[in-house]
Amino acid sequence: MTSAGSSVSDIWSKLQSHYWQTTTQQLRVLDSFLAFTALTGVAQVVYCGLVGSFPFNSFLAGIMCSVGVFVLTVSLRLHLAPSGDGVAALRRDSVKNAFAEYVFCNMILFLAVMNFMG
Amino acid sequence: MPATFDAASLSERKQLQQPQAKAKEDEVEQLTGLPVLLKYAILLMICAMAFLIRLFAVVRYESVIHEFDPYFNFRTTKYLTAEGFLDFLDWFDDRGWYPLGRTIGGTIYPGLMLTAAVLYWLLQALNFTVNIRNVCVFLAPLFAANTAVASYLLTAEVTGRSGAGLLAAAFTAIVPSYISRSVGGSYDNEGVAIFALIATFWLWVRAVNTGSMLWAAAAALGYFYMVAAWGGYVFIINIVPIYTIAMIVGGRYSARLYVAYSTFYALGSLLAMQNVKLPTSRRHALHGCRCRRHQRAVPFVGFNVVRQAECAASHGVFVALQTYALGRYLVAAVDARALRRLLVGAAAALVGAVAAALVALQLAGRVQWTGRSLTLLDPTYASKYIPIIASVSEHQPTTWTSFFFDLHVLVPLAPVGLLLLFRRVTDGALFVLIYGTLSWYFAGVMVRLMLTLAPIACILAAVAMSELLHRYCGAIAYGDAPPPPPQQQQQQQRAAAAGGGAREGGPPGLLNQPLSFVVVAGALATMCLYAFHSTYASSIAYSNPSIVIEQRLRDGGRLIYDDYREAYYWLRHNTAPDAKILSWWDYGYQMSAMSNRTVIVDNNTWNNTHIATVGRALASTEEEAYPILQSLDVDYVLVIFGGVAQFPSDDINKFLWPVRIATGVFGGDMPGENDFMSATGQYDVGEAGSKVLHNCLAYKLSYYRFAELDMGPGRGRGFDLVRNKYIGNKFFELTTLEEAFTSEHWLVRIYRVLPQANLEPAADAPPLPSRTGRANAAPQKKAVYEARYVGCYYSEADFEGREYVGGAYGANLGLIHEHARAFGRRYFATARNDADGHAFVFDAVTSEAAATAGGGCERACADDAAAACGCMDAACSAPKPAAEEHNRRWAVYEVMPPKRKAK
Repeated sequence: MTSAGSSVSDIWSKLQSHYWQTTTQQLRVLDSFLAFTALTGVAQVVYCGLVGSFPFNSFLAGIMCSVGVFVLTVSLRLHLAPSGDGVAALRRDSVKNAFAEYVFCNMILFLAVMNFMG
Repeated sequence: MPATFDAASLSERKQLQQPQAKAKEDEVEQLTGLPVLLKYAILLMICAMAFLIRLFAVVRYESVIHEFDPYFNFRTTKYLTAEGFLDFLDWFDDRGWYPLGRTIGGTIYPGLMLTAAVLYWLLQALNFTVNIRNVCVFLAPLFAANTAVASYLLTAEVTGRSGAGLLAAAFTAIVPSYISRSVGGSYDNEGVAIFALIATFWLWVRAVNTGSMLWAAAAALGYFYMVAAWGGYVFIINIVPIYTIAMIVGGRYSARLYVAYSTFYALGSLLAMQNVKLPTSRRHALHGCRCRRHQRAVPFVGFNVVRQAECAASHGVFVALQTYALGRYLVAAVDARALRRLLVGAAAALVGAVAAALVALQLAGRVQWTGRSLTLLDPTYASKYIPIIASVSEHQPTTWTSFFFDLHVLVPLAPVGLLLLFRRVTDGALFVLIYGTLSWYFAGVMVRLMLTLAPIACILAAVAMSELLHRYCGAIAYGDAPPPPPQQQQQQQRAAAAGGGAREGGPPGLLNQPLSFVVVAGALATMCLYAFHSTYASSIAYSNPSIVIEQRLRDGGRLIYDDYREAYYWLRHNTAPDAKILSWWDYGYQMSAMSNRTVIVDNNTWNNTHIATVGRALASTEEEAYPILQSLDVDYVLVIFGGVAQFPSDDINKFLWPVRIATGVFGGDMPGENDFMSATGQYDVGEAGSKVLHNCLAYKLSYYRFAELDMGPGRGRGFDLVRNKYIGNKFFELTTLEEAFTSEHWLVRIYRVLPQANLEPAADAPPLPSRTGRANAAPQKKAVYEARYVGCYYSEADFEGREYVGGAYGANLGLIHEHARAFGRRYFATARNDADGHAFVFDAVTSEAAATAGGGCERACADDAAAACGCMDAACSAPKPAAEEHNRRWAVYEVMPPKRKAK
């Protein structure tokens, strides 16, 4: 039990040091935005648990919006991140392209969400 | 285009294999100059070929809409172009499903109609004054050309060879299976949906290969279009997650895959929710009316994506992918073996929990499978539980002959393509492999799904054929020993080093020039055969409009039967505008489109009970059918009869389906399938046939006065040319219907339902002198019964020898009275709900005293406001008696002998 606990805390500290060492300022900003998006999603789930999911389409739209923005941002992050994170780097030459694609996808997402929200 | 697909196939190799595999990159061809021009010219010619091969029907007959469903699509498209999109969404159609009606806007896939309407508006804006009918007729061939382009793009993306792409495009353009659903005039969802399917798959493979959010978003938009166009979208939303899982399990996970699937899922499922509509209405076939109320609560919003079990895989895979990506990040960041085990355990637990939750939801009935999907998983499902699905010919299992007829040379070639792709698996190739394997299974289950198999069979065959030509043409060009391309050299060196020998290039001895010539010539001949076969299939088998029936004479000439249109136009011009016409559901769409009259049921089979009622009317005797016809306000009954025109798929040959569907709903209340068989178990219209069959409505309407027709020397009178029999019941009179119209070749027969007053004249009213002229008299639809009101009961235990009959009997005094009399029961009791209720027929009342006056008994009947029909549940004004399980008030009647007999 104690060994497992120590290994978890071990892992956590390793992870922290790895993160602060390897992540650039740009990516940290992106990560904070990711955390915020995740929070909005969690808030909606908590609300749903407490109050209920009555206008189901609105609830669904809200959740899908959080999830969608989150995964799109992660995708953007994958485009921007250096290749050291266990996944091969995507096209490094096209940061601008990646950002334009990100904006385009978000436009579609929010259009659909607005329409669905009712 | 083709110059850019390299990046993909390469970068994934990077992470999996050693850097030397980079040489693969060179395999992607770089075309410049004339070959590029040639390529596009060939593609253009393929498109033209795809368009032209589908025009046999238009050239031979005329520019006319075919079959059944296209007539509905055509009618809705006309409405859309005339009224605009918003009115189209709000359209409540009162011309079908009388008296229920149908919300069209919320229950169809609008993709096809919107495509045609947009094309129409575009052409109008450009001052091409094209008729909307012509737009609809030529839409499917146009999209077939698009599909050819899409399959070119997909194949080129997967193989990196535009040669294979062109072959795939050529195969797809003329594959008979696809032609069958996309000839000119076949204006159906599949026409545009197959294009959407292949285009979506191309965009998806491209998204995986490039890792670009833009392509993934484009794939999601393609999926959106597919959802709007066809129920086959389920295919996409399952193949893509399956592929993703296969990639992860196969160790091919990459950031590109993450980006592609996450973006596709997030956008795709959200977009799909905007317009998934039909599945709710299709589900009615399973659950009857209960779902309809549910659907009304959320109009135009498809929560099905969340609720349907068909889409569950995509949600699960999305969660799994996120978990896996997180796990990979952690492993890379921390690099601890313990962590790995921890993560694997956590991931397994999570996936298990999600699966368990899904199973629980399924068991609790929160997510639902549609009947057709269950049929896919268990091919015997439909025949066991849902006769309405099993009755549709395109839902039958595929026979091997139709595999060969519809795919021809692709059947042997496609597995070769599979094999070749297996030998050099890339991300794109894996997708094609999975798609090919799954669709092969599905095509075996349902004939209709041959359509999803056809494009992938073309692509696989093109891969095989391209490889064959590539190798042997190379041998011709370079002589006995073709100089291997650089990367092949490397491979050979590696292979030789590994002791595997030079298998990659094939045994050198086999590649001599004469042999190569023979092989190439054989391949070309095979392709020519395929082209001939496709043209033949298109011309003979698939260009039949089925609204005009063609008969081949013995001297080779053609005889055209145009009876359908003759009859439909007769209805249009000779009946009252609000006339209701009953026929078996097959003809509903055509009738509402061409006759512009109200029909009882049509080809959208959303309400099984309603269809069963019609089936029951056709299967009942004339006397029993009459109350049903009355309750549905039917003015005309239409039957299709092929006994003169030698048309085999008429109502008599289809007749067992109405019986099956009706008994599925009404059970033992009506004669079952076996009662319509002869003593030896044959379905026989002749002398030996069952008496039940000989007296049912469909039989009588088909053969009325048929025996007066001389069928020519050697046959005489009463000889049915389709079934090659002398009919069993030759001379009979109709009492409740009269013949209104019979088309030139007897193909369509229409009967007018006589008003009831003439059947059982009231004692004081003078009987009408004759039948002539009655058509113009306003029908008097008042239920007729001779019954004495006994009293009001609250307990059904008082009814001795009772037998339950429910449904419409519980609300219509005329119906239950007829029923009680037909079965010789003395009493009957009803407790009405709304349009239906509970009812009993029985022999005696045990206690007179049990009657309690009032409390709801006095509620009127559905068919007669002056009579009492009882009440149930909340409708009863008095409280529930303590001893009773339900709160009901039974209005009890005693059947009196008919007055007519008394006279």
